[in-house]
Order: sequence, then structure tokens, then C-alpha cells
Amino acid sequence: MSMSIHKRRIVTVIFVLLFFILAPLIVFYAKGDIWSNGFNFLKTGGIFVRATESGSEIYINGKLEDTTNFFSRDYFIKNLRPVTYEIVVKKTGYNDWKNNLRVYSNRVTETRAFALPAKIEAVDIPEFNKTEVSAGTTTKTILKLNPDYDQAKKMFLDSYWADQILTVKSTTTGKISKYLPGTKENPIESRHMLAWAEGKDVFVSWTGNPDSIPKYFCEDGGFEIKCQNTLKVYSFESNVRSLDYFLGDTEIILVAAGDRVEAIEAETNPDKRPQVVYEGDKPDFRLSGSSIIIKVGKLYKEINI
Amino acid sequence: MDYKNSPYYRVGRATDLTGKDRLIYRLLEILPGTLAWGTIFGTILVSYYLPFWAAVFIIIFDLYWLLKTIYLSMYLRTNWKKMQHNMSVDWKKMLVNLKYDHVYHLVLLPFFNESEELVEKSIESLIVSEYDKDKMIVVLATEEKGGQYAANLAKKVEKKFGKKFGHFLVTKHPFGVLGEMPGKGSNIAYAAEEARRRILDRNKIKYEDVMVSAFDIDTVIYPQYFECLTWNFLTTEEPLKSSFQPVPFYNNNIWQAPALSRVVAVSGTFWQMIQQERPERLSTFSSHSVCFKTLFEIGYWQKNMVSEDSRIFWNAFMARNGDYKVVPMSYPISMDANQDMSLWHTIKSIYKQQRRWAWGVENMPYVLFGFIKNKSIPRYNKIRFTMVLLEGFWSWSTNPIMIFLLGWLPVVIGGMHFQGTVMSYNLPILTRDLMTLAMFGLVTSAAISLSFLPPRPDGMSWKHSAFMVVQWIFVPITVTIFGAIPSLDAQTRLMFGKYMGFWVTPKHRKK
Repeated sequence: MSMSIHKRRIVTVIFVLLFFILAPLIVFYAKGDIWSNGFNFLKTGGIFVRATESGSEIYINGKLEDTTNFFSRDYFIKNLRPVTYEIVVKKTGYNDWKNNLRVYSNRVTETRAFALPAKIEAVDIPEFNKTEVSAGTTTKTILKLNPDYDQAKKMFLDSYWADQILTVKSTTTGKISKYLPGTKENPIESRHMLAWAEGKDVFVSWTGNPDSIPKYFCEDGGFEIKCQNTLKVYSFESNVRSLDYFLGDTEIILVAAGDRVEAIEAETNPDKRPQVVYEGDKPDFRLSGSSIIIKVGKLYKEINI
Repeated sequence: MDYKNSPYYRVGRATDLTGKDRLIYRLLEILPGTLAWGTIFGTILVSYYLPFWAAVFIIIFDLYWLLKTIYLSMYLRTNWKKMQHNMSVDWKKMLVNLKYDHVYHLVLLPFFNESEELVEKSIESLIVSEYDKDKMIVVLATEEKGGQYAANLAKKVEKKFGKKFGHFLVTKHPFGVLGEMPGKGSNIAYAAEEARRRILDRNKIKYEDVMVSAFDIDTVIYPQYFECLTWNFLTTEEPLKSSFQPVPFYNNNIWQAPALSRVVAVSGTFWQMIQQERPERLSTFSSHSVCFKTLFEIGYWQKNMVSEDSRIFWNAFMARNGDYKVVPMSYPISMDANQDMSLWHTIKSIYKQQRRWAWGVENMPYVLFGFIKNKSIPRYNKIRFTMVLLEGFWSWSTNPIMIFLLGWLPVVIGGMHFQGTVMSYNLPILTRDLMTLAMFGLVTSAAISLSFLPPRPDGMSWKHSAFMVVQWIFVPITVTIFGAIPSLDAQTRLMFGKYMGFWVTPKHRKK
């Protein structure tokens, strides 16, 4: 019933042979080298897409490849020839996201598909709260100052940001200069990341450990990765009035410029376009917890995304 | 000089030697721990500095693990069939054509302070066994350190069961004998010598006619164990150059023991079943049997170390210059799975028991040192056993850690350049897929374990049976926490010369 020593030796040899045959094949496959015509290996690469929403459809060169779900919003495709691919991420009710990605041999090009809802509702913050009081046959309307309005209004006053305004006195002229948060001299800082605007241009800069630098500061040339500490994110059509990180996300910058408040990805994607958060007459914004407070003239609005 | 009479034959640890011998032995004690930690630290360093090559190594290692799992599952299945056959065979009929009425069975039951129920159950299984009781010599080997409780219980047991066997002897191993380590080895060596003096010699029983079975106090035999052992003893080519190894089941309390304990216990059974199919790798473990003549000639179990169950094989192997083997019986004996007062106590007990078993690594310096000193052992045997021991202890302490803990390391610490490679993305995917394939072997394990289960006790529902299958999902945890880590613990202790003493596994049974 037991296997004879002879039979066991044969089985052992078969397993050893199997190991030596499979090991290089699996290693080549893991590296991205796939069997092509005849005995040639084709060096391939891959694309990794991180979608912000579940239910997003991922298209590569116009072909639907995957739909993300609740458990996995990531999509990884491998065995791609090293050329450029058009990636589009779509979800009903959200802006389409598009990028052209270059794939290199044995490397994975990683991207994040950031998409905002196509329609974002901005809720008015009224100056007064109305209360109707009945007295006999008459009804009185009592107007009470809305504390939320008062709070929103304060957020846009210089005094509200007093502790964040940088004051510099020139040693030569004695002139005192004040820099608001988000300017080159007084950038906004979060988790070793600086963000600022210079006229129409928005920049981000990495101040942390070079080994931990976020990937979007780097360009993967296939053989070499080149990283730069400062990255020009985007050049808007009008001067930037204010900017901040999009609800604490250091990969997205929220910018007020021209007649819009827009969100833009802090990365090098040449096809990226700002996504509109609010459109109106020279709007400005401030962040309050998980809300965006918009100021248009004397009106204040609240956006929750 | 005969190796048996050399000063090296009974070495327990490096400190038993002097001069150059001590240095060599010490280096051999350091070797297993160095290999294990070298592998772990090596993987971490290579993952950081050469992440691509670390990933290649891990993927190849995963493949090796998968093939090894399939390879060993094959042996497990073969032995399972053989066990089923052996358990269905009428061994009495097998003995019909053999002359065996001269064969005595000397059973050693080492006892410290375990419960009366445990002792009685073990002895009752001897009574209900089918072998001629007049040919059975039962020795209850107590410890002086067990105190009055042990002495009183021994008296009670002797009174109750003494007349049921040809001979019944209670021995009391003295405490604090110079050069001895308290534990099972010193106790049963003392008991065997007492049995020789007081029973075999007085009754003129030939040593070559006596089979000695060194059990644990919770060992419960199957009814035809001694017939099966006798058959193996009488039919093997060189019975005096052989030890006989049954397969330890842990069925005594398998329905009551916690799932973690069951998985660990049954995994141990499976490992023994696999080894039974590869007898050239087999050494004695736990309960085993050997002819008294051999035992007497090699000087009984070594008294100055912990893992006497395997050392007795290596003692015989060295004394016989490599001409010694273990005969796999493919027949079960049953013992207790780990079970203590609470789940936490049980977990601690499992860990300590596994560490004691893993302390079997103390045999590695003994064997390798013996290979250096004993020039009469054939070189092929030396190379083969060296590889078996090195691979065995290295795998035990590192493989699960490599697979379940370090498999993702290059991705985490390999740096940005590596993190952007296809290899970095494929590593966790391939590791997961290969391990999932390997886990299919667990289905076989679950099926085989069910086939050996004793009937479900009254009061337990089908859910308990279902959990006997589901429990196998704990394997990745058990092989790491109760396999690799205690083994690494034992090897590290040996590496630093922190020698372990004997730890008695607590045996609590829930009613």
C-alpha cells in the first residue's frame, strides 16, 4: 500500500523538475514578461487606477474594462504593451475623468481618478431666520439674526485669519508686508505639503522626507524615476483669489479664480481639467469642517459633497 | 572505541563537554537559530536593499510551498488509506501463522500529578486491549516530587488494577539525582531499569522477548495495538535495530478541546502520518516502542535532556553506527489534545507544548556532533540526515513567517522605484493565489480528520461536527503562532544557551 522507495524517488524527481520548470516561468510572468510568438518574451507593463467612487466605469482606449464596486475601487490591468493608453473613468451624475497614460516595460503607471458630482448644490445661508408668531387673529413674522450667517461672514474677514497672516518687516526699508495664507510667502501646509498661488498659477511643494515623496511629484521614465520637489499644478485663466486643500485631501487643491470655485488634482496629468464646485460672480470660499462656505458678494452659501 | 562508550554518547548540551569539543558542540547549538534568524533578517534586508530579488525569492518560495503541500498531501492520503486498512485488519488473525506467545509487552506510564480519571482511562484501555494480559507488564512510573498525592494515587491504582496484568509495578523516581534533569526521560529510564531488576530478571524473562512501550499518562491504546506491534516486531527484518512508531491521535478529548487546540493537535497527527510514509526520515516521537534488549544495550533514555522521545532513536542510531531505523506502524494510539482550565490557559499550554516539541532541536547538535565524531556511520547517512534535520527545523521556524508575514515586505519597504514595478503589483496577487491553491489541501485535511473522529458525544449538535470542518481556516494562524514562533523561540534559546527544562503539559478534561 505504501509507495515503494523507487516510486517515491520518481515522484520526488517529478516534483523537483516541476519546480525548476515553473519557477522561472512564474518569475518572468510576475515581472511582466509574457510569452509572445514562439519562444520570445514580450516585456509588458500595467496601469493602476484608483477611482474615488464605487460604481465607476473604467475605459481603456474606449473599451469598458471594469466597474468598481464597494469592496474595491481600484483597478489593475497588466500585460499591456508599452505604449500610451487613454483612460476614461465615468459614473452617472459625476464628471468624466480622462487621462492619457504612458505604459513602460515592467512598470505600472498609477493614477487616481478624481471625479466630482456634475451638479453640486449650494445651499443659501440666510442672514435672518424667520419665525412666525400668532397672536389672536394676527400673525407676526420675527426676524432673528442667523448665527450661521454671522459665522460665515466672519470667516471672510481678515481678522478671522489674523493668526495665519504672515507679517514681515523689511530690515532695510522698515516696510511691513502682510501675506495671506496661500501665497508664495505664506503657503498652506498640510502633512509636509505646501500649496500656494502666484497670479494665475497654482503650485505644490513637498517638504518631507525625499523617500516618502508622493508619486505625483515624480515622472516614471521606465528606467528612471525623476522627482521634483515643486510642481506647477495648473494655470487658471484669472488670478487666484484663494486656495486650500480640498476637504483635507492634499492631492486635490480647491481654487477660487474668475467666476468659479474649482477643484484640481495636484499632479502632472496634462489632460486634467478643473472640476467646477461653484459658478457665480467672483466667488470666494472657506473650508469649515466637511463643508465649503461660498461667498458671492454679500451672499453666503454652504456646499456639502 | 565503541561510540556508545565514548564521552560523547550521552551529551546533553555543550556544557557537558570541554575544550574544542565544547566549542564545536556550542557552534552546532547556535546553527539552527542562526539559519532561522538569518533567513528572516536576510529577507527583511534584501526586501529593503534589493526588493526585486526579495520578491523573486518570495515568489519562488511560494511555489516551493505549494508543491511541497501537494507532495506531502500525497503521502498523507497514502498513509490515511493504510491507516484505515490497518484499523480494519484483525491483527490476531495476522499473528496466526507467527509464534508470538513468548512476546511480553512492558508498558511504561510516566506519572507526575495528573488526575485519577486520566490514569484510570489509560490503564482501562490496556485492560480492554485484546493481548494476553499475563504477557503484559505495566509500570506506573511516579515521581518522588509528585508528593503524597502521587503516592496515594499510585497505591490506589495498583490496588484496583494490579491483579489484572501479569505484572504491575509502581516505581518512584527519586528527586534531585545528580546529572539528571527532572522529566519524562529520567523517570522512564529509572522505571525501565527497575522493571528489569524486579520483574524481568526475577522471572527470567528474556530481554529480546520484551517489547517496551513508552507512553504518556494520557495514552489510550486501540484494542489491537499490541497485536499490531507484535506483528511488526516479528516481521521486520532487524527487530533489534528498530524502534516502532504508532501515529498519535488526540481523540481522547477532541470533541471538548477548543478549535485552536484541535487544529494544532490534528496537524501534529498529519505530520506523523506523512512521516510514516517516509520512514527514512522518521525518528521516534512521543509514545513509541522498542525491544527491551535494544533499550538495555543502548542504556535507556537519556536523563539529562528534554526531548528523550527522539533522542532515544539518535542514541540507538549512534550506538549502532547508523544501522538503526524506525518502523512506521501506521496504527494509532490516542492522547489528549491540549485543554486547560480556560481558553487563554489552553492557548498558553499549546504554545508551551509546541515549544517543548520544537526543543527537539537540541537533537540537532547532538546528531551533527555525533556525525563528526563517529567515523563508522556511512557518509551517505550523515549527509541525508543532516539535510533532513536542517531542512526540517528551518522550515518549521521560518516558512509560515516567510509566507504569512514577510510575503508583502518588499512592497512595503522596497522603495518607490520597486513599488512602481509590475513585480511589486504581482507579488501580493501571486502570493495570494498560490497560497489559495495550497489551502485547497486543507479540504483533504478536513476530510481525513473527520474520518478519524470518535463518535460525537451525546448532547453535541451537528454544529459541532460542522465546526470540525470550519476550524481548518485557523491553519494560517496555528502554523504561525503555534508552529513557527514557538520553534523560533526554542531555536533562539538554544542559540543563546538558555537551555529549557521539562514542562509537564497540564491535562484537564471537561466533563
